[in-house]
Amino acid sequence: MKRHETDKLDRMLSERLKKALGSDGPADWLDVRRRAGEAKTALYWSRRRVLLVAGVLVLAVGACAGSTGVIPWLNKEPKSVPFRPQILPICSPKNVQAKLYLQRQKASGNLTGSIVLANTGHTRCAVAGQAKVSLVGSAARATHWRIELPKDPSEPGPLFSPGRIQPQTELGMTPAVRRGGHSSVYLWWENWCGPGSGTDGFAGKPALKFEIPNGSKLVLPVYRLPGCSNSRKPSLLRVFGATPALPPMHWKTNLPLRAAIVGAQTTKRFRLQRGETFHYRVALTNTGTSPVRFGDCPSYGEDVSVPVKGDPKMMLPIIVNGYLLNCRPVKAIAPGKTVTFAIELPVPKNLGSVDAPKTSKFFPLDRGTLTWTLSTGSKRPPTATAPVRVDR
Amino acid sequence: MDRQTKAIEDVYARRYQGFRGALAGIVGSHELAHDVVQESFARALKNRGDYRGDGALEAWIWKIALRVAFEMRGRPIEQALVDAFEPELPQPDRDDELATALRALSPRRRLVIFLRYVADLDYAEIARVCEISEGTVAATLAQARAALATSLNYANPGLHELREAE
Repeated sequence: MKRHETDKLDRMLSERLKKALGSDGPADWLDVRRRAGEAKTALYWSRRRVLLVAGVLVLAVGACAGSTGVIPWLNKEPKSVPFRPQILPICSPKNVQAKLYLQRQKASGNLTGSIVLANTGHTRCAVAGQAKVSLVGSAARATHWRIELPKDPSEPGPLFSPGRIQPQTELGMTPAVRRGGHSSVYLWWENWCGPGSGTDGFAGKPALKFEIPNGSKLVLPVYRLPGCSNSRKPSLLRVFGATPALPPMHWKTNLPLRAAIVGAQTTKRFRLQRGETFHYRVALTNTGTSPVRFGDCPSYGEDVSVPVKGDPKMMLPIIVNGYLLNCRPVKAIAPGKTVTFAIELPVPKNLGSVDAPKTSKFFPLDRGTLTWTLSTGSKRPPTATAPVRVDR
Repeated sequence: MDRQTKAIEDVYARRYQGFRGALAGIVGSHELAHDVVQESFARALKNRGDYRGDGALEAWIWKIALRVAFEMRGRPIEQALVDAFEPELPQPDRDDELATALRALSPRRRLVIFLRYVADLDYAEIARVCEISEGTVAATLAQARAALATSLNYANPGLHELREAE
């Protein structure tokens, strides 16, 4: 094979990839300079003067808060927290789209994946209730299979802490309307001994029928099937409940705050005990040149997520909480100063125990990540993470 | 405007689409990719004094871009950056066949494919960005290219011949 032939292949691949990945996106050099802090407007300078005066006033308050040590935890949930139920109209079936993603686990041949739901309409909406899932097509008729769904529609998965997740799942908006993300239904699929077992491609595969109570009937072609591990047993497809889309963000504001979980190390995990409260501290540092003042105290979200075995990219939240930050003793954080807040994380008694030990085998509880996020409504909210393990 | 700023602006003006396209595959969305590009060039601008000229400026910015892309996931890094992503087409229905062929590759091979064919980086630049040797880049790319050619029914030069041709 000569050089020009490899060149031709390179060209073909390059053109096809660029076509598949291309999109109309305007370059904006001014935005880059603004982000780099190199494009300052007249408004910026007039604001600076005001903030300079304000800064002098709050500097003392900030420093005072810093010197009092750790701000105690506030056991108060905000009126509106991340992932809280909202009264939203039910999505019209024509505005719900779904895509199926499946990934094979190298060792077992089992599949993990998700059905990603998106709202293609122009207004916010939600889906609610229990989805019906089935396999259709001749391959499905010729094979013994069963579907396992979460028992309670309000419970997104056997590992979720009951009562913390809304019964109503808002679907994210599509990028076309520039709001929010998508909502995912997680899947676990094992032991397919029918036609197409363990292969990729669309030919001869069943389709997955996904019906939501809003009337959406979505038929998703399956392009990958699990391998066969026991032909006497039916194929098992576990469908976990939908995780909510992230709430719409206000993309303009960024607070110059850096968050860190005190004592977090990449090499050592914090230990969480079931039925006990985990105490930790979050340090917020003002990295900007102006004081950060809290008006009403902001809320924060905390979640503990665990990886799906064989698919480290996929994280399944097992605890999701939202509380108000106890900001009243602080009021403001001066530039360069750090304020530390005590945080408490109640760990449910039955965490991960439903359907254990099989479930915990798939979702290793000893390799979790605690994520703390200040709900600033900004594009990049102050976020801190720490590796954790839930003791069995 | 200093010379370094001008050089970064030139890379931005010429290569914005390449950055955005390849990053869309790496982070999974065009919107997020735009944000990663903006943030990466902003960081490059802020830290332009750190660029010592020992390699292409574009590769230096790409290295920042991968770091920014990773940070935006908000999860702690537990492996080498080159293995930290699972690139795929953000809209697989645009080209189902290509999406399926890409999914069959390992994440590392997919990343190298995106950097070579969408970002148009050469082997030395990919090696610098991914912190692997040029030989590893060549081998990874040859294997990925051969696998894609087979999946997409393109004439396949074959691994051995590809190595010879290079």
